Amino acid sequence: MNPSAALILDSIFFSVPQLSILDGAWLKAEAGRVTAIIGRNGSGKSTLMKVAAGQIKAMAGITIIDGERLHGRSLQKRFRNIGYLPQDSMLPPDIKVKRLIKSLPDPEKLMDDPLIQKIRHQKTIQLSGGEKRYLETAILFHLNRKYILLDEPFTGVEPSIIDLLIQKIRKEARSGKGILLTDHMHRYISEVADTGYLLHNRQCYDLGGGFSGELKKMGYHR
Amino acid sequence: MILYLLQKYVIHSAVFFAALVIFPLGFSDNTGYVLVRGFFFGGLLGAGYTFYDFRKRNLWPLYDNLRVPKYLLLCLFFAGFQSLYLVIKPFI
Repeated sequence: MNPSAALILDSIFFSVPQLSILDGAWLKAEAGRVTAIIGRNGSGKSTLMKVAAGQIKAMAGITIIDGERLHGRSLQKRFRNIGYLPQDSMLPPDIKVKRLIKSLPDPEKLMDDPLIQKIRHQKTIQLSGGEKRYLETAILFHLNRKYILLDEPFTGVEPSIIDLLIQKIRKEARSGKGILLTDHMHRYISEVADTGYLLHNRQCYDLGGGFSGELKKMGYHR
Repeated sequence: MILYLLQKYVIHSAVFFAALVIFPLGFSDNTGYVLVRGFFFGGLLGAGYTFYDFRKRNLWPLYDNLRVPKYLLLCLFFAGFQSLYLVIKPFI
């Protein structure tokens, strides 16, 4: 694997009037690994994800994808390489799952998924939160991008679907994709992630590989 | 998903078009002018409202993921909506 294959967020500054959210945050998500971002509510995890996905423009800082430096939002260049799961559902409520999947390239492959087969005749508004999350994640992995950004993929999802999601994430990482994820379900995060960052005081702190112990020490999970 | 965007654009533009045409037609003899104005501003407001509606419902990330050029599509839909006037012109 190419050693420079990574998604790097370098010196990201972001603020809203009267509140600084990110103050020179730096992180690296390597291809073939699962990288987690941990932090309290309002610490800026989702903001950092949105900056990486070009959904918002940082005040300063750059995104580097496999050595290519991206300033500004650069949506076309970013989405050549990344897939982004936002915190809130991105599925139109009044569309059938089957129709949604048919708009993707090579839809038959996705239709083979047992859970998707079960829900394919339903409208997305009729799906449970967990089914929606699973469908969104399955779509992202199906798009075959090199880096996948997952903002709270486990929140509001039942354990059996979380297990399926964890299996999918592991499989994709093994196939060489870089996964960057954030969630408050730290037990699952430490189970699936290879490395992690703590977002605290508007900065990212590298927790390294064995970050489960660090999280316990800091009181993030028991 | 392009068809879904088109469907929403047409609905929104048709609503604005109706609002901009039905009332003024009662007060104007110049049907052609009112229709052209209705198609232009109806299409423009329709594009603006569709963009706002999709942003409010957080649907644009899906289009970004699918690499659908949203701005280009809205411009094309707007141009297509204008051409509807040429279609109905012989019947006015």
